[in-house]
Amino acid sequence: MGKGVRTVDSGQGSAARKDKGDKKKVTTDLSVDIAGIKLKNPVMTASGTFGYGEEFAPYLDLNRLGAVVVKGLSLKPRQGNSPPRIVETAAGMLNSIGLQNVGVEAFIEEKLPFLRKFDTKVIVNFFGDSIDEYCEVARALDGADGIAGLEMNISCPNKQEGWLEFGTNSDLTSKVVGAVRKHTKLPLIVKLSPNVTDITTIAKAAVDAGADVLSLINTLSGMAVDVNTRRPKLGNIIGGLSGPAIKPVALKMVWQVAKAVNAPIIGIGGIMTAEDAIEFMLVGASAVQVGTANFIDPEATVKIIEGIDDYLRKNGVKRVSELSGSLRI
Amino acid sequence: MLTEVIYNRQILPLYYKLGIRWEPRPFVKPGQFVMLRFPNCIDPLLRRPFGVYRIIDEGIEILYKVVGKGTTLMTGLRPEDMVDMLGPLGNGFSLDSGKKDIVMLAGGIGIAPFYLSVVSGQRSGVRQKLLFGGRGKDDLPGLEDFKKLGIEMKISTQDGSIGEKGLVTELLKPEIRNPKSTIIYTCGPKGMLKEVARIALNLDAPCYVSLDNVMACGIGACLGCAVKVRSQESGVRDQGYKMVCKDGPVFDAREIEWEKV
Repeated sequence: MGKGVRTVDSGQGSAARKDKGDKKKVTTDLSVDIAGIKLKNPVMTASGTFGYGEEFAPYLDLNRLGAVVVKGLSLKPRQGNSPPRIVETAAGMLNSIGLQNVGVEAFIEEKLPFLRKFDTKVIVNFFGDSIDEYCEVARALDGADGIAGLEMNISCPNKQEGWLEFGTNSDLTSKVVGAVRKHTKLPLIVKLSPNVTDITTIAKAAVDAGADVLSLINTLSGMAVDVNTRRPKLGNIIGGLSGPAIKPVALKMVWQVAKAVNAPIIGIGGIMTAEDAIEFMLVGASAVQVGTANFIDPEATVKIIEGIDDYLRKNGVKRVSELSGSLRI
Repeated sequence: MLTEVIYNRQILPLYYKLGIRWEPRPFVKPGQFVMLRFPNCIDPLLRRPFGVYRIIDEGIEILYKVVGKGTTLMTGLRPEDMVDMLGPLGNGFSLDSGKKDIVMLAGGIGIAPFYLSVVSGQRSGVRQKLLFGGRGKDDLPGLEDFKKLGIEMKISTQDGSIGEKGLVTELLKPEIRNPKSTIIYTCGPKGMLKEVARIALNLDAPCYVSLDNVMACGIGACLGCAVKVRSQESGVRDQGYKMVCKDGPVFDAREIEWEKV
């Protein structure tokens, strides 16, 4: 961290805020560059929590966001899982939406033109149930106008080889990332699953196979039971846990991966406030994604961006990128 | 938006009325809902959906039943406490009935959307009747409000403590004298909605149901509140899902795949 940090006493924060003249003196730079994707600030929306952007347009100015990461796309439209699809748990929620989406073709024709109207980077999350499908989706997206980068969801079962999730095995991760790499020139983000014995091995496999950026973590696998009916609370029995409950787990994994690989990292997992986002940056993330918080407050991302800016001013940090990996141990 | 509680009154052992400041008064269609949460609270985490019951001088009134953690905590809300509110959301009842008679059928807390719809119907001069049922006399929240409105009403309770003894759905059939000139609106427990839909479909009477579901966002993004629908025209099954929050909460009964509800 720069010298500025030490010259500002932490207790002065609120006093400095009241003095507007003082605030003007500090110019902050929130922009970050992630593998060539230039973001105006480090805050993106997490896939699956922001629809295709249009759902949130009535609630916030999409131009304010670092990037919109859209709901995960497959080659063909998917209906999703049988309800109930969500259940609240302690400081979190389980979901088993089942990757319902409009499919890559409808996305390019019907959803992307809307997003192109904004001065915000569009990152497209996608998945497949075979290596071929991953490649085909990546190829289709590579030719579309207005996409800044791709984010691969590798927490999907491989239909062709025993239903093992790609992201839980380093060989499979390597194979699928390597194959997709050949089909896109766009910056490639690989989103890691936390449901593994050692996330750093998978992280290394992804980067070695051609991932430009890693994003983590995806949801933690979990379940909930209704004791009165003795039935699982989700139609799909198991689902993915998200929200504040998973933040400490996510933070630790980002810290571990940041030490293990050289690629930029996008931190994800239970971010509700600017403080949460800053924690992820301190342990090594270059940017963050806000997920479940969008459901609870559609304006959460904008509030987090403003909160990060406040933090930089209060602490005399000029560039947000200076925060990345500046954890003091 | 952050706003203030005006009052929080217990009206029956399990039912409360919550007055929420909302100025200038919003335009809310009957059947629309708001989502509430405690400001900055992470447990409970998600907002809860509540139908708007009445428009009051300084805002809106919610009718709620104590069913779980969130609503239990809500009973502790006091005047001037802050709540975080999002809305109005959803489509609401389309009250352009084409001068048909309206039969409303409510079960328990399912009464919530009907105060506004009765008021709206009285303005347009359409004939309306309310069938209101519950387990017992303590399960008919807002009954006095509807008496004051002077709407024609039939009541039933499962324990017979007030009105006719039995299920409210048993009152429906005799009310449908001419299915072509009657429109049914209903809200209540799933079993009741299924039965109302079955009767309406058999009589070929138009029927609109207000569904309730667990939801995270309320704005069509989380895809959590999915309900299975069938194609209305062809009757072909397995047409995918609609979202209760955005495509509903009010649906044409013919649209829903009732076996999956």
